[in-house]
Amino acid sequence: MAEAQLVIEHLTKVYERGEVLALDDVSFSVKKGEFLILIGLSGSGKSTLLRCINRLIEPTSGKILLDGVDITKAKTRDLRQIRRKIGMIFQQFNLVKRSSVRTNVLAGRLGYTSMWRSLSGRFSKQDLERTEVSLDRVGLSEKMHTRADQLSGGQQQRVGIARALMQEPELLFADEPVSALDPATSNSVLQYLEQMNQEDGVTVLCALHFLSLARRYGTRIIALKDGKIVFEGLPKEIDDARFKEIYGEDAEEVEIR
Amino acid sequence: MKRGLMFPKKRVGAFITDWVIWLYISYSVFFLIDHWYTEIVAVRPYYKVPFPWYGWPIAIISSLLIAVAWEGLGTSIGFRAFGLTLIRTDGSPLTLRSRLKRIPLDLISWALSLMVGGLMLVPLVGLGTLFRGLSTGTGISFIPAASLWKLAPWYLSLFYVLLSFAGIIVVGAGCVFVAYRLAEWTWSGSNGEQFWCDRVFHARVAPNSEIEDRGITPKRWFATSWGIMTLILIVITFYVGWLTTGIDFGNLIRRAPVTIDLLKRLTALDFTHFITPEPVLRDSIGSAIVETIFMALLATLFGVVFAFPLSFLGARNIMATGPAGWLIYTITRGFFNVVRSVETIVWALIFAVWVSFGPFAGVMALAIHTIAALGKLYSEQVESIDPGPLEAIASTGARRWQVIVYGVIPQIIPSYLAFTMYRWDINVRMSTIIGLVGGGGIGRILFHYKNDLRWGEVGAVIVVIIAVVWAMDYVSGLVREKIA
Repeated sequence: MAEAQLVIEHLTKVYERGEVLALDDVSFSVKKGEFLILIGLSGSGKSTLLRCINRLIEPTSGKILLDGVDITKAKTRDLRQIRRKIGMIFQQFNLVKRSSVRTNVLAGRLGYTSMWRSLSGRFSKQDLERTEVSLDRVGLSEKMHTRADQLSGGQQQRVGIARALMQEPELLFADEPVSALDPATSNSVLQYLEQMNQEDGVTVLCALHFLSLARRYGTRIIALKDGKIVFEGLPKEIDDARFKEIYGEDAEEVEIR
Repeated sequence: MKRGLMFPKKRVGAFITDWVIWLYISYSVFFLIDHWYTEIVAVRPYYKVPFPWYGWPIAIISSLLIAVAWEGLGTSIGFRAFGLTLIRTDGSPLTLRSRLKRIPLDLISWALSLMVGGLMLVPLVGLGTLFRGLSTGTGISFIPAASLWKLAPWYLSLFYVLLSFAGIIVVGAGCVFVAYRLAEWTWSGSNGEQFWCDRVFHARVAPNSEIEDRGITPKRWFATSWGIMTLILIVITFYVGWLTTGIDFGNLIRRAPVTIDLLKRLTALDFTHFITPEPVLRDSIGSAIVETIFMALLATLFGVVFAFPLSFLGARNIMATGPAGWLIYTITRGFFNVVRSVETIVWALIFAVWVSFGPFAGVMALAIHTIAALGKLYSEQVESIDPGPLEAIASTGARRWQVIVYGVIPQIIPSYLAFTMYRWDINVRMSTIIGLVGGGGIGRILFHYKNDLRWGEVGAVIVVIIAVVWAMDYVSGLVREKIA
């Protein structure tokens, strides 16, 4: 059994406005090399959970230990070092649309680049080579100088993955990475994540909507409902009864292949 | 249910709105009475009825009372604007009859609230009077120490001072106690019943959405008091405005012959001093127009250079990360708004005094207004960018500076250029008239000729101005096309 890489203890997030309890005493741990899937309805707290871990959103209380270091107590400088180790891809891809693919991918290297070098755009030779390698891995090397908004959704998400690759991450967060994509593209995007998981040993935390994809790619599933963990276990353990518990009585499973 | 005293932000906002509306109406009523008296009843047309000093408190208090009563209907403009409505505590609608019955109690509740405020002031006023009396040796006779101080022997004075002090403390404490109980009685309530009148009628002010959730169709606008009041406000504004600004379209026709004569003189263009300098001004139209163009160019350049960095300090999404950032944001935005609200012409007056007449004053005036105007436009642009990429770049461990350079700037460049071109157009037009108040450039020449009634030369200057503005518009249009 590998050591737990990420340990989350009693994580709670209350949004001040409207006093919404987005995360309610969430505790779990993730081992190195896992492909952990988060499922749950929209608004169940999946996105908030991921963003609390790298503190894009400040958690209200609780502890987050990454390799034994408490992220919630990290100062700005240390937080940047921690964020460097965590790649993240998003539902809406979050590329700078007017910038080229190359600039977007290089942005993944900003955490490693000194301020003056990045302000003047003089990235190191290794970083430029790394850009080519990353884009090659996601099969977009000939789109290097295209503007990001001229790519299709799937290609944009692959640029997002290339940006995350630039960080040489130990962890990868994916916030509903395929919700805006068609089924075929969804599969290919998730295959890239799987490849990172298996070849580079990157631990993946992925929020997903489709149970079929979760069963296929996940090594473990955590289900959230109203900010609480309602299920934690292997993908195959989710049967009809559990499904209804997570998604509500009226829900029916949609199959996507 | 929430407990504790909450500041009802929306309700206060709604009340202030309604109060201001009724203040406006009471002003209009006084104005119309005045107008009616001076223009129609009295034969002396230029005699104004002096507004009596007690008119202000009457207007303020009566408009307050009417506003309170109006809010009691639950359909005032303020309620509408802040999305509030008056319903029963259980969520069902309140009948018109009980809303009307509630109004007197509402007024009493307000009177009681004011009384609470008054009673709280009693000890403060008492102590204030005492200390003021002690320092000046005068005072109100019901605080004996104040008037006896320095007149009676010291032990007697001291005795009276202590006695008065004790009296004020006792009476003051009593007043505060009464105020507290009164406030408790007037204000306390459960389930959102805030006032005594709400408690009696089981009413509460709730967001509009609660009614909409119940599927009750709102009345059409002209069947509600806010709809009718809006109409009345428009009519009043039109009528009072018409009288105040002295609109008289007949005048356009009556004075047409004079204007035609002037136009004739203007069109006899006189280009004598286009190149040769005018002896009095020691300047020609040609050199003045060059000066004007450079004024506009420099002002725009200065504006961009300063507004660009300032625009990030004035953007909420960049700065609102802590109290310090919020302070900088507020100061920057405040600077933009204050400077922008002073017109360029007024800035030119200020700088004409500061650095004396001439094009430098004009450039400064144009530049400072440009900085503020562009700063506001720019920072609103920064606020409206897509936050997704910023989040993504921050998540890679980038510094805030890097997030701005890689996430914000690429998103804002096109609109920054568009705003700059727009401002350049404005500056060209403003620079032609800024000379009227001492800002140098072509305006100075125009003003001089106009004062000398040399209409032919005025016409020539106007033609040059039109040509230059047109040419500059054309150039900026070309640049715009290239950018887009």
